[in-house]
Amino acid sequence: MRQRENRNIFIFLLLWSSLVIMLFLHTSGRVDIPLLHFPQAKGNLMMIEEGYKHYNLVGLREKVYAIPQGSSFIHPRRIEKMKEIGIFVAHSAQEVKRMIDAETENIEPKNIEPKLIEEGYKHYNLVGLREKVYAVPQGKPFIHTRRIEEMKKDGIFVAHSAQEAKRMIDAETENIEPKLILKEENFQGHNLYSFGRLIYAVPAMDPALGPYWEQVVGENLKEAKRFIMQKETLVK
Amino acid sequence: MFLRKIPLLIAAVSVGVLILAKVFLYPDCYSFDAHDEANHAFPGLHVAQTAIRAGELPTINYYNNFGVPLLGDALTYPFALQAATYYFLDSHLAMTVNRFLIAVATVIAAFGFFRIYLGTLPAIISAVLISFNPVSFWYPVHQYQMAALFFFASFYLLNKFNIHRSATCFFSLFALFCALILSVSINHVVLLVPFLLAWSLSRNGFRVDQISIAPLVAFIGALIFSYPQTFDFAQNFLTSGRASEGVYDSVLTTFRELFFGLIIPPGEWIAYNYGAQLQVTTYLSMSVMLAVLSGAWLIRKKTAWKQTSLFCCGVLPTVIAIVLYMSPELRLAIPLVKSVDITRVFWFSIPFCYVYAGYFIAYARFGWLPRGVAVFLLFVSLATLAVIQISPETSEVSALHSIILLLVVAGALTLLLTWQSEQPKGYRANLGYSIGGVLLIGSLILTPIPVMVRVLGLNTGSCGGTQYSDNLAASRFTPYSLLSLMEKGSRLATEVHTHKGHDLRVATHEILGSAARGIVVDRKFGKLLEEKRLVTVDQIPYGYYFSRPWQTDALSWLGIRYLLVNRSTDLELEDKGWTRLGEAENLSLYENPGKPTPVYLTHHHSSAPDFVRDYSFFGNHIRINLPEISSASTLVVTILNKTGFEAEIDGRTTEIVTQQNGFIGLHVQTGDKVVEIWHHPYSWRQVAAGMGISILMCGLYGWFLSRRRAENEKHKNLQSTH
Repeated sequence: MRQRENRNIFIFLLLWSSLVIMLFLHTSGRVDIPLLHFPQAKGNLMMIEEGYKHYNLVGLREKVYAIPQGSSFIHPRRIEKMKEIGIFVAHSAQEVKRMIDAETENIEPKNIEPKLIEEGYKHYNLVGLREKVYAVPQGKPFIHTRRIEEMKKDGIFVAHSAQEAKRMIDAETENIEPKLILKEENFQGHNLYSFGRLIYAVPAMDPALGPYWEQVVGENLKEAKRFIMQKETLVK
Repeated sequence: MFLRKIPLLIAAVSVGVLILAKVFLYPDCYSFDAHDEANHAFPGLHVAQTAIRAGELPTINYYNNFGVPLLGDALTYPFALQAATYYFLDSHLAMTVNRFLIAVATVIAAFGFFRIYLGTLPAIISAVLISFNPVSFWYPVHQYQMAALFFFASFYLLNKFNIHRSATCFFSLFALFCALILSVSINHVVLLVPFLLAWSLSRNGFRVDQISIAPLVAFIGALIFSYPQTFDFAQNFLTSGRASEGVYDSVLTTFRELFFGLIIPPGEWIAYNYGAQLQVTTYLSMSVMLAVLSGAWLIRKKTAWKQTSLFCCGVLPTVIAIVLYMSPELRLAIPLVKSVDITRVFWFSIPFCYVYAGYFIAYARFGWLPRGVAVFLLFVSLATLAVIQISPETSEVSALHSIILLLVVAGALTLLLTWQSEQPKGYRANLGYSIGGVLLIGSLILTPIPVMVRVLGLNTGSCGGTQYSDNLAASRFTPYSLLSLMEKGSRLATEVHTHKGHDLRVATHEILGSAARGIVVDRKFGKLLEEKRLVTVDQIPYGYYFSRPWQTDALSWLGIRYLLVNRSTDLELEDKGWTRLGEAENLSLYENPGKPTPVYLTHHHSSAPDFVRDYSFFGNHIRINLPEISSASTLVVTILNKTGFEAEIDGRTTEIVTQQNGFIGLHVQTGDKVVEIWHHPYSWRQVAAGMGISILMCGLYGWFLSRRRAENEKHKNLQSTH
């Protein structure tokens, strides 16, 4: 009996020691054990407004929950239960208040996340939001909460489909008169100008656009400079 | 005998080594908590040990928040067993050594506790598993780290006492309780008493006699032994900001949430971050709960006292705590209960529940589980697996929880199939029973893994981030380079949240801090500062730090010479004439143009304070060499006047006059030279008297017990002779 007990103790110590070694190896980073990756909840629960038409507005990460007073906060993954209790979920306090006012989640326009439809169409990104498509010049941020008038001032086109947005971009790019802009002066005897989407190198002593103009052209400043240097080397 | 203890020692050391895993794996990493320990225990112990080395009873920390009691500070405990290492080692090293030794000792003491009920193997397994009891494992800090160890040792000794009924056992119990009260946070000590009494009464068939009340006598003796510390704490706590606050709130308030909280650590599935103990403290795991329930069924034929003691100390308090936890309105209506974390009941009730699990292990190792139990395990674990799979909350939890349940299913199924296909005896049947038992026990061994990983921070990829380990720099005042720019004995205020502990940590460099953080905070003084708009309250329990708008005069009256602000250049301070002394780590150190000190004279003819430069703080003592005084004045020491202060001017006892803001004031005359102030709420004689009375009381009780025992033995002998 004692032998059996000792054997069992030995088996336990073996199992336990293996577990400790496994945890050491995992902690050291030498062996990554996926089973030991325990998710950790993030974000703080914040009371945004108490008692708006008998609802408490509670914020968690990027969402706002309107909870009928007297009900408790329900885990956000329990969508059915939230609907049963009458909890509204929105992306802003304003939106959730409109839901409370309308007594339904199905309000229009409803805030949803912007979605990238196409990137880089003639230097525009096409972004879909609700039933509209926005053509946003590349490099400019798209802040969907701004008013449409403000967006238009920033050169953003607003359309009802991607095709319509593209037509608007096409029309705009064809109508644009390219301007000559001096980018850099006297680079190895050349001034570098941007004209449309290309960079042109013009001899500094001869600002007139001559045959040289046709030869040194780049997509960007770096490329134009490289062409100039190559040309200079060839001449020498 | 020693060889038989080797497996226990191996198990205990492995737990200690695991706790220090990050210390071994990461450079410059030590085991300590950057908040409670680095902010309170380390500086508090430094101040206390300076006083003890000077032959004083450490009663006050002048360096913290205008003078904070030290003896009754539950975050320092200068006479704790674990404080001894601080005499020989630097704070961070002392705590690292403590953590290892206490972990090893706790497993050994837990083994002693489980042996009251169980055989060797189930006792070793239970001792290892209970070391990771989430609620106690979460709190490794100075004032809590010995609680589980003393708990187990108390019951081990109490059982010995009940067997031998000797004076030696009783006196050992008394000595253990003295060490307990000096070493463990008083709220845990108070919580332990009902468990001790309930257990003692159960052990003695609910008879109230000299044996069953012995732990109470020993406990009262220990209270008398350590009365200055305990009474000081009670007095300070009742006047502090914390007494009226309900600090701990519940997160799991529905049965559904509670169920998930019991089977999976809430930190894994709860929708939002709850960055504290509730991430794990409710986690028991379904495997353990099944073992507990099965164990409770299996021991129904055991000795009555074992059943009643387990019910009274395990099941009942756990259920009460869960009910209170789930009913915040009820809990917050109960005085004292409202200001404690109710889940701490699990600290002491869960080990008793684990005894049931130990019984389960005892039966399972041979596959001796009744079929009904195996069927119960199979169905409940399958149902729980299904719940985990279909519930939206648990859709992203680790697969380990399901694997643990699958082991239970496999174990139960193996046992059932063995019974079905084989005769009760035979090699194959034995093999089947053994495999089934190993699978069931294996599921129990895996259950603490989520707790270990979360609490020890084994997934963080760095040293810090938990209460179990941090880098050396986190144990000190930072920016360290700015310390040399401040004069010792001057006062600093920091415009940084108090949990960072800047104002507390400067104590180790003999610089006075200003902010308030801790169990004992003078709320009245805090309110005064709030009214003057000098501070920002930044936490519950009550705490504050000094903040803008900066009022130079008001700060000077508080003796604040330095300000550490959280910006590179503070135009407001520079406009007010403050000098920027240095900058590091995005914090800048400024000096008050008046270079105030914590001691000054006020004159009737002048509204400005006349700062005294020649003074010193040492232990409980303040010595001030006065400058030439032209007329009768008031000497103000910017330390809050509390019970126990005495003052002398040139050897004459002088009355202390409390100033409007609560500071110490003394009337001084022309020609006065030396002022000495002591904080002496208790003299050594009083302390010795308390110790003497308690030792005498327990000695007498022990003598009485021995006499009764001798009489009983004589009586028994006579009866057997007749």
